[in-house]
Amino acid sequence: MFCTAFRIFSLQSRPHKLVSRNVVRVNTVIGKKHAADQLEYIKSAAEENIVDWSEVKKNALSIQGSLNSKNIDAVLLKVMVNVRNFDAALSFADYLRDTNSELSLGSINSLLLLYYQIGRTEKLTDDQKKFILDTYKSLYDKYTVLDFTTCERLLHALCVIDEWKKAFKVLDNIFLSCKPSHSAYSTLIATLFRCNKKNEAMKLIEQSVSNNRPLMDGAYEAWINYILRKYKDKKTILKYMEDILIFISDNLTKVNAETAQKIRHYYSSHSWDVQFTKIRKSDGQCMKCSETLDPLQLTGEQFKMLQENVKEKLIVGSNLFLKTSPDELNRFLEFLEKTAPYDVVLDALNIAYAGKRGPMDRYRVLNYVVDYYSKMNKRILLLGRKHMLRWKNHQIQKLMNKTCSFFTEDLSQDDPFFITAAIWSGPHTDIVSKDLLRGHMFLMQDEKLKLIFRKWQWQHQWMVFINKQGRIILQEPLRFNPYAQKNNGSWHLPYETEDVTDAPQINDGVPDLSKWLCLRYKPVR
Amino acid sequence: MYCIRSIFTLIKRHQPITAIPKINILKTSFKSELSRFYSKVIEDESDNIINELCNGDPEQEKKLRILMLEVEVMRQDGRCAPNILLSKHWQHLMQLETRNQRTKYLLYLWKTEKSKENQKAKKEARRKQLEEMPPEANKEYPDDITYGISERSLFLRIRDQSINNFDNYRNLQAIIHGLPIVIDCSYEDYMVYREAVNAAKQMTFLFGDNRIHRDPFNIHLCNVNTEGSFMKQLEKNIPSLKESWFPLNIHTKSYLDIFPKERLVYLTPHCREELTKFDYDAVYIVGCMVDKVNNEPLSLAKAKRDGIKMAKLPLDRYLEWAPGSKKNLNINHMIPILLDLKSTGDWEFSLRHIPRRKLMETKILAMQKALKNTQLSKDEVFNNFKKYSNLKGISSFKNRRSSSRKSLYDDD
Repeated sequence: MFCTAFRIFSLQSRPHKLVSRNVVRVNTVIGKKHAADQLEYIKSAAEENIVDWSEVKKNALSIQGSLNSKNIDAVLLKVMVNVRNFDAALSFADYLRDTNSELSLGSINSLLLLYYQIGRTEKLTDDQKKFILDTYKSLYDKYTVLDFTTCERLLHALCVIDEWKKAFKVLDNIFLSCKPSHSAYSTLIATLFRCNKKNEAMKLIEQSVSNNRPLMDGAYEAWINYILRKYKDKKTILKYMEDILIFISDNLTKVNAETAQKIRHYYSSHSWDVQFTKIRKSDGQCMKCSETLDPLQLTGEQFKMLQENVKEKLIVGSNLFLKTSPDELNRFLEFLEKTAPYDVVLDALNIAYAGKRGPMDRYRVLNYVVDYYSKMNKRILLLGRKHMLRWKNHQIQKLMNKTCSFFTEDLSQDDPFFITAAIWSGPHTDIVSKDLLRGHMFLMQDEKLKLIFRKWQWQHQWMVFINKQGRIILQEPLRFNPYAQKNNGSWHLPYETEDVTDAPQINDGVPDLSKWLCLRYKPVR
Repeated sequence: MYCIRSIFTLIKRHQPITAIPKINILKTSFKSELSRFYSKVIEDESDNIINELCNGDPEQEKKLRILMLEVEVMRQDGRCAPNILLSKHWQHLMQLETRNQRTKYLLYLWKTEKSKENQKAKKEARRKQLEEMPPEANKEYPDDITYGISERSLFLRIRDQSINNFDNYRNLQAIIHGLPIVIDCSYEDYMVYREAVNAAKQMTFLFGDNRIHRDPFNIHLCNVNTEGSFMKQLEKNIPSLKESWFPLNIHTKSYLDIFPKERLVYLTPHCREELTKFDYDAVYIVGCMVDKVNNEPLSLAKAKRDGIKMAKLPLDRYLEWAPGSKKNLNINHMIPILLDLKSTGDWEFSLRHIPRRKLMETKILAMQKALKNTQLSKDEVFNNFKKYSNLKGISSFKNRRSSSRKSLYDDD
């Protein structure tokens, strides 16, 4: 009871948290917590028209906080860029260049940031362009390799002035210390499209995706603009636009809402019928065009890969004893050999504990599920732990008559066993469990394997829920592919928005079906 | 002012001899001198560190130079990075793989540096205050006797060393007559550096708690890796650890080689068997592990592999736990519980060592405080309560308690 009450408080405070999170995102680069008063002063000072910057600096330093004479220049500049006060920032930049013979690395970084932010919306002056190029040259003369932060800033600044060759060199440099950020990749890709270097852009897109850095809105925008700029014929444009959609569906990504808007805008201006839509959960029908999405399928090769990996990754792992023991594993393997294949594998404890009103309710739920499948003449495997055998009135023995059954030790984990049993039994076997199996998906380690596992799970997982009236509801597996695809000449794209809903929801493992884009070709009459 | 002071400290640290002539220059042409001064010091120092750590390996050197640049940029960027990094810190930084890990480590170092600085400043202020304070009660006549502890006292002063010896004596008695208990130190590979240091700290507390108890255990550290960071930190905490007279058994061997297998009982929170009473014939094993990063049931796996008995403390029977609290205890809570249990046999009394923050009573107090200070109206609170709570299926603690007494892990 108290825990729920606590949740109410935390939920209450959530909107505030969201607000502050946005603020923090802008200021991540500054140790805000330790210099709150100083930053407050700087922000208020920046709003007035200031001539005497040394005075501002002196005042800021006299306040207690973590800003000192070493980092004050960089922070001042960064704060002004973050609150988008470019006039003040430019005047401070002039002050900096006048007073210092040699700029510190920190202030160089902040200047690069400033020019990047200005350059995104308007053209830079020749002086500013020259500064970026000079900085690039002098930094690499002085230090043969650069650190991550400097590289990122330099790359963004170089991209604004379309120096993509130099930016490539900087990108390579980043790999020495870590992976480049999403924004670094996407900015460079956008620049390449702007400079009409499609081949290079495509190569970099591939690299970006393989490094787990999906494209951001800017890159898609530049891509669309490139196509519109380069081709005049309507049909060719459509053909190349489709490339973008094919790219999205091949990589199984979701675009964000802004990109979805842009795609929508383009297609609807070319006499396509474009609408935001929802997909029906039961059969994958689009609510707007009544087209059904493609069925979810794993190729034989993919499934084989899953079969080969599942035991090693899920049961054995780094240490067999963490989840089971060698004896038990052998017992399990022998059992599988004797009794496989099955049509459906039940995670008995998970199903039973959907019933929340005591032991009888647990038995009722489990019995219902077993009966449900045995009526369909399915071959069932019931997988539980040994303590279930002590249920009262020989309940479990009654169930065992209707099914194959395997019980693990009380100290072992039963989840890996039921997953392994289902996958080994063949591509047609379903599972029943309310567990989302995220931990097990993580253990697959390999990104590709994770995705296959995910698909398999969507394809085969039934879930048991109990509604308020106490009725048992079996949720069927997903019948369709929840990724971008082309069906009968029309496209369906999922997209994601950032808003968070406040109301608590039950996560039933189904991807978001309410945010889709439906693109349909409308023949011109 | 602050900045001048920081330069002073910097000068003191790096160039104690040339410090005095430089100050005058700094005061007059402060800015231009400043930048050169910094870069000069860092270059000298960094070259030394690079030579020391890389041994001429060009790959390593490249990596270290990038790291140094990264830290320097962080300093100038207003992010939290310490001003002084020793070669051991750089070595640790080189081992960290991701940028996030490095940032966190640097933040930790920065905080320690700042807190040291603050402490120093505080001390300085206190010293000044003491200097300015008037000397104590003036004497009316020069030959007056002043009374009080600082002048004359009836009792002999008991020094720390005597207390230490007294405690160790009791520990030595335990080595001869006390019940053995095993601390299994084999989990160091599963811990990150920070956790190993924490574990060493807990071990230090545990040693102290044990020896001031009326009837201490005879502690055996088993599976010790003498080269590991746990042992190094422990030695730092207890400098006389390796002396031959020191009352602690340290084995690199496994507990299986020291005690008969039948007597061993592994205490692990992951098993299902509950300890009902203290068995004076058993040798209890406690895993020395801080599992903040790695949550796998490692001690369970170890006991299973070794084929020894397992047990956990009956925590749910005697205490009402707050939702979300973990039931794995620090070793320096575990041993005092066992000590008390051994001498009293009273679970309620022994379990007082469990931190109160993990219990429901603390949560209730915090809850009441939150209700008192909330800005929401009463109606809103109630509405939210109805909206978000799922009161069905939550039985009262009393019921749960009786059911947990009835059976340990049957489902009904």
